[in-house]
Amino acid sequence: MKKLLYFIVITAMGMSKSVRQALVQTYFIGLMLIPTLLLGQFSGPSDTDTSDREGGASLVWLGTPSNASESVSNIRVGDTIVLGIKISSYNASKTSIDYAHIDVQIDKRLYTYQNQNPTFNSEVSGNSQFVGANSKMQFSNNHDHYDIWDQWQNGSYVSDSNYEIHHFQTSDTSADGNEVETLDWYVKFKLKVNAFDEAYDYTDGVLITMGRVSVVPSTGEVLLDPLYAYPYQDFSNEPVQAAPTFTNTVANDGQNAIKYKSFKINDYASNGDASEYDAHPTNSAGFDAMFDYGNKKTTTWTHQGRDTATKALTWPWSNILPRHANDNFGWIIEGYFVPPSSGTYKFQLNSDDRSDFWFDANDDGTITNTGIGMGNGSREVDITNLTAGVSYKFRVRYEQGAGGANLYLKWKSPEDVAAGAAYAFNGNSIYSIDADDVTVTMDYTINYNIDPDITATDFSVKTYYESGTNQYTANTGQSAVTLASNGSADISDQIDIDFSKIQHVVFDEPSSTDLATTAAAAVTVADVYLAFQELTDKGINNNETGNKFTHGIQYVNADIDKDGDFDFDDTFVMLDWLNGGTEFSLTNLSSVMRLIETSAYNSVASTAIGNYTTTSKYPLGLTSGTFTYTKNITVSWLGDVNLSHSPTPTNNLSVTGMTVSNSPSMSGKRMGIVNAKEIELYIENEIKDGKVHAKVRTTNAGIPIGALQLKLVYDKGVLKYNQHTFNTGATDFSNVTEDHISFGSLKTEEGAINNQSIYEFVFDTLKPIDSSLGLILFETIEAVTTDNEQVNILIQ
Amino acid sequence: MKKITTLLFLLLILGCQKDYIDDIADINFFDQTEQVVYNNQSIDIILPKDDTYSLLLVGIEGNLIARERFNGVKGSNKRTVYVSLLTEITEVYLMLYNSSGNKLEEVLLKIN
Repeated sequence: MKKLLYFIVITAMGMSKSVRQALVQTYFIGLMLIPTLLLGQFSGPSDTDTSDREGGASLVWLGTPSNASESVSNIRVGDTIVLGIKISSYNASKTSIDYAHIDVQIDKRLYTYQNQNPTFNSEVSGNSQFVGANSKMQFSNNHDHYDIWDQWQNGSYVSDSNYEIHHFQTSDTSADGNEVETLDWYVKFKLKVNAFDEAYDYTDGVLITMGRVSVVPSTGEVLLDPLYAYPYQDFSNEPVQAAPTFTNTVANDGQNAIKYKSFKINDYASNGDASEYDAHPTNSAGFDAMFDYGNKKTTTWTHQGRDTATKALTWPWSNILPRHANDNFGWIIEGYFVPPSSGTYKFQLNSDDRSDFWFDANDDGTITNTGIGMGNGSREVDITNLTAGVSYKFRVRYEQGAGGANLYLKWKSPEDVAAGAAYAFNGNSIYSIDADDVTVTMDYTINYNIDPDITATDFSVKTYYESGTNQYTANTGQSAVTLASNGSADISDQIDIDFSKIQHVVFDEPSSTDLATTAAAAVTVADVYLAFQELTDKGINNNETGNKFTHGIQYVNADIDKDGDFDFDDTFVMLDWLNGGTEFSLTNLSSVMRLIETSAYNSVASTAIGNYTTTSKYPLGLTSGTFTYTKNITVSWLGDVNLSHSPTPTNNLSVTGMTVSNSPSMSGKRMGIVNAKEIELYIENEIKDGKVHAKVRTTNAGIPIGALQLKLVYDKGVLKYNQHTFNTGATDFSNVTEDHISFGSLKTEEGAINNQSIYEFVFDTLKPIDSSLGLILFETIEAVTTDNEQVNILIQ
Repeated sequence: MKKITTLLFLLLILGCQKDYIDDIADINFFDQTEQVVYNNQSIDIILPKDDTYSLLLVGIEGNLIARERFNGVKGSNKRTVYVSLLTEITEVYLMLYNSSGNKLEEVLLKIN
């Protein structure tokens, strides 16, 4: 940098004030391009490089044809600028220059040379110029490009249609000389600015490529050697207006984001107090002109960036996009609209002052004016045949002059229209880029509200999508997620973020043994007894109006035959289950598990029990553009009538026709309840007549027992079940398997089980034995009073 | 000859000594406070008289696990203890009760 500044200073020596000012401007442009320079093929001369200089040739800024003092920053595409060539001599013995021949290369993409006859200074004579069409300097890597006399000798031009070379020559061999070095410029020429493009290398615009300068005394020509062109001579790559810094209020492209450009408009002071377009556009072309910052001096591009769609397309003042001031600003807002459903969308644009609305309705890459009108005020337009999930590019242009201001974009989906809903804005449908290109992270947590007696960590889930009618396919790369001890499952990494797919989270199937164990724990005699009580109360009419159930979900769980109502058929199936029958389908988890969103679970109506089916899968309910979900799902079980293994609804007594009684809550009813009533069981084994007799005798101590369930486990390697006899005065049941027997009783009518009930089992022995101690064990399952109160069981 | 006569006399005397095995057979399973048992283990218990007795398996916390009633005879009685069903238990008490409901013996079983 130090070297550069040094060279600038020495180059400017001897110039007039106006020329120096122009050069300062020019150099300033060059300084801004230093990063490009350092990375480009050219580098500036060092102090050592220029210490031997004898002469210099410089491009000088001469403003516009009408204003020689015009600032570079005021130039726009379409303007005409004037450049001159200044010759300097740094050799005190080589002054009175009377010959100069300088070549200037022009990038025709950026400039159009305006006339073939440049203006030579009146002080010089013997002038000529010619053009090398379609030519570009081929600098030699072995020679400094800024040493233009060296390039004269060693450089060459190559064909390139984007460039042309202009040769400017002055020659006066008279003895008195022209003293060209004393002139601010010896020739000047005009260029029309065609474009600006940051992609062009700065040296591509306009530069001096080679030159020959000499003093021609009578004794012969004396060259200025070395002859340098100043290194940063390019005017071209300075954008007409440099793009403002891109500001990311929203960190990443994605949902509820847009990109915007913000402009200062109606800036008459920058154009001699003259307007260049309508202060309030009356048509699309008016907006085109207003935001044509490259050609309009009264428009300045002040901001750009990415921000929220909410900020861009709703109000108030306190939360709108950046602008230079609250008056005379305008925005171009662009994004993508992703409809959540297919069909015709009604859009409403409301603004103060003007705005228009563009939309790529057929998604062909061409955005067109919707014709919604310019405003002020509210306007509507229908856009038809939109497809759910497709990203449609749109643009809103808006301008604010002075006074009141606002901008709203709202819409109605086909469903909104059908429902008579009002226009509304929803940032979830707006993306800053095509939604398909958005890299997002799904955040999906399901909190399974699962009874504490069910070990949540025994279960795991996976995600599937519907691949056909009743067909489900596992998402690619998904794996089982084990439920946490509190029942939660983070399935964020398991979801295919393809909103066109209907996805479900599905419980992994447990082993048949684990499933049977779970069912056996959840559906016991207390459930059956309560079901019978409900039926024998007012529920016998199949209209779910008894007063033994206190929550609608109990009817759902009691509908064990899954026919949509609760009746005697269900209790028979339950009894069959207690007796080891197969009426209670237990083919897989989905035959007994019930998943209901917790909010719904808490308000299940007894009259709508058919609406809640058993299933082990739950739809994820993904909404296009929404990436954060939390679902609360309650897990209950078919047959769990007393909700011993299903959460108790928190806010529901919505049992049609019931009389709210003082029935105790079903929750927390487990064996070993503190302060619960207690009955005793006397157990005993005995070998009689070569058989083993096992007996249980109840002592209820005056407690009216409505249902009792026990379990006998026996050593199948020694014993074989033979028979049993019960004396309970109730409906008995037994489910005999090869190693255990589930048995008990319940009163299906008024009254209680006998106080001294006896359950006796007889086993054959598979080999001679002298003892039976330890061959038979009894386990307690549960007992309830006739009021469905849980009772502790003590084995004596 | 004298030496042979002396040897035969000694053999006669020693051969008439009380059998040492008889003392071992009188060991009562309840004589120890702890016993290591395995499934299907035979044990010997000494009963004071002919009567109906009960053997109980009682958990460490005092919960009754199993009871067997049997008719015992005075003296040594062989019984068998089965523990294969006690899958989640490592220690259990074995108790002996008489027909009057009085506990006669108790030993802690460590299930092998």
